[in-house]
Amino acid sequence: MSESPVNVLNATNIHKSFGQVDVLHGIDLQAAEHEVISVLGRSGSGKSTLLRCLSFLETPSAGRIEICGKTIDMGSVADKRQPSAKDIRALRRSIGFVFQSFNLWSHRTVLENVIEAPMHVLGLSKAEATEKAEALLHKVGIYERKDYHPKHLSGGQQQRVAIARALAMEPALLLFDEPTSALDPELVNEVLQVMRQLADEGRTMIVVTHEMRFAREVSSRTVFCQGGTVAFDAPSEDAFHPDFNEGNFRQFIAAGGNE
Amino acid sequence: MNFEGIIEYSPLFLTGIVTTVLLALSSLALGLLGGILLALAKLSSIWPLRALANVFSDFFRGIPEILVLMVVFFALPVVLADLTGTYVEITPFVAGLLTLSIAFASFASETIRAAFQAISKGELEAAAVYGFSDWQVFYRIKLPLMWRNAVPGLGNIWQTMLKDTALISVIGLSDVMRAAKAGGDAFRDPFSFLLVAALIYLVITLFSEAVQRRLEAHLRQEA
Ligand SMILES: Nc1ncnc2c1ncn2[C@@H]1O[C@H](COP(=O)(O)OP(=O)(O)OP(=O)(O)O)[C@@H](O)[C@H]1O
Ligand SMILES: [Mg+2]
Repeated sequence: MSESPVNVLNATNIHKSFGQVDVLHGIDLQAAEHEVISVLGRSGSGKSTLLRCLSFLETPSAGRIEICGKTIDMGSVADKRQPSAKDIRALRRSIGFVFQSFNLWSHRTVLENVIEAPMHVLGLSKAEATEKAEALLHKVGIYERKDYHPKHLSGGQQQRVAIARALAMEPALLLFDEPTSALDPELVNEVLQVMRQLADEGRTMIVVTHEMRFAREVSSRTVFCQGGTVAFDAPSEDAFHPDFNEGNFRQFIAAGGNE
Repeated sequence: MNFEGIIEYSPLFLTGIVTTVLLALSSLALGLLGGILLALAKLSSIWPLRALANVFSDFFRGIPEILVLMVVFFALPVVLADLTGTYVEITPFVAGLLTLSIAFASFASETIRAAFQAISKGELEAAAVYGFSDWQVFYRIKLPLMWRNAVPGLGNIWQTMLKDTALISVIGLSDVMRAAKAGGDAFRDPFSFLLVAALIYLVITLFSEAVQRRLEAHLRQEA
């Protein structure tokens, strides 16, 4: 028997409702090591909610999430379980999250943004954290601006800093929620370029995006969400084949991957 | 102008300046702490805490400070003596400190509450998702961001309080105001001595405004 690749993420039967509004109805999502998964879907289909549930920025109403061997089981909807803060922090240790609106800490410089969590969560010394941060800032091409405050950077530059900040925690799984949607069109590529580089390095990534080209060319799998469920989960090669049409995916692509 | 008299009273004016500045700064420190606690209570999910904080700050914003001062200085020792059986002396300085910091906290709590609410949720979520504990999110991210939002508003409250320190002279605090009064009485020349006091307050407030402007400019540069 050949050994199946180790899954970094196993999410099973994720449900989420906000009060009366059911947003996710039983989503399953796995990510094997080195996989890059694009999550596509119309606005309001629950993509952000899914990523936020995986990182417990929203508490799932039900389901089981396992990341790098650490599990939080929310049981069924009826259970109304509350995960412990300790379990959530343990799970988050393996996650890097890149937000649509960057969410850099505005009172910190670029460098301070990147060393903040390694120093105060991982307990690295300032020298160690700085050395690592500077290497990452070189990598995302923003080292020259390391002493700037975020508000003096363009959106594309801020997002690259946010990616460096995520990488500084050496996460096993990188979650991106529409990392280029808040950017002016001419700044999209500099961020996608960095993300391609990360994919080439073999990082495990889940990317919610409206960038069809990125999904087709970079991601190994494409997951299409529709009304809070996974309409299909297929190798990107197949999904972007002209004959493929599940869950109105063709119309979705024809509309440019937006509304 | 009675220059000899003013020179004779300059040591009294100098200790007065020290007392006034010390009272203002310590009331600022205690008032800020109180203001933050009140603001957190106002934002709490526990409704009795919210109600208590609102009643407290509305009450002390609504009554004259001189009234609070009188109660703290004259009535509180009596109440404390009745309760504990021992006489606790409240000095004019302590009475002033309590009065001014309660007033500062009550006004500041609104500014600070708004400043907490103006923090972008995303910056807090980023901290949480990178593994900060609630306490770390609070003091490493929330508090400094709140501070940046609150400084302009707090500056105004501080300017008012700086001048209100003069109030405490009525219960015998040896501050600038008291030195002016004493000198004026001794030389039967209130005008000269009050003018000196006015100049001293003016210099203090102008200096404080300059510091504030630099702080605000510095914070604007950053965030
Ligand atoms: N905190 C919330 N409270 C109530 N409803 C919410 C909340 N967050 C999201 N929703 C609802 O859940 C649904 C899915 O939202 P979500 O943001 O996950 O969609 P999305 O697929 O990320 O859309 P987009 O492409 O616009 O980002 C929407 O109908 C939204 O209104
Ligand atoms: Mg979204």
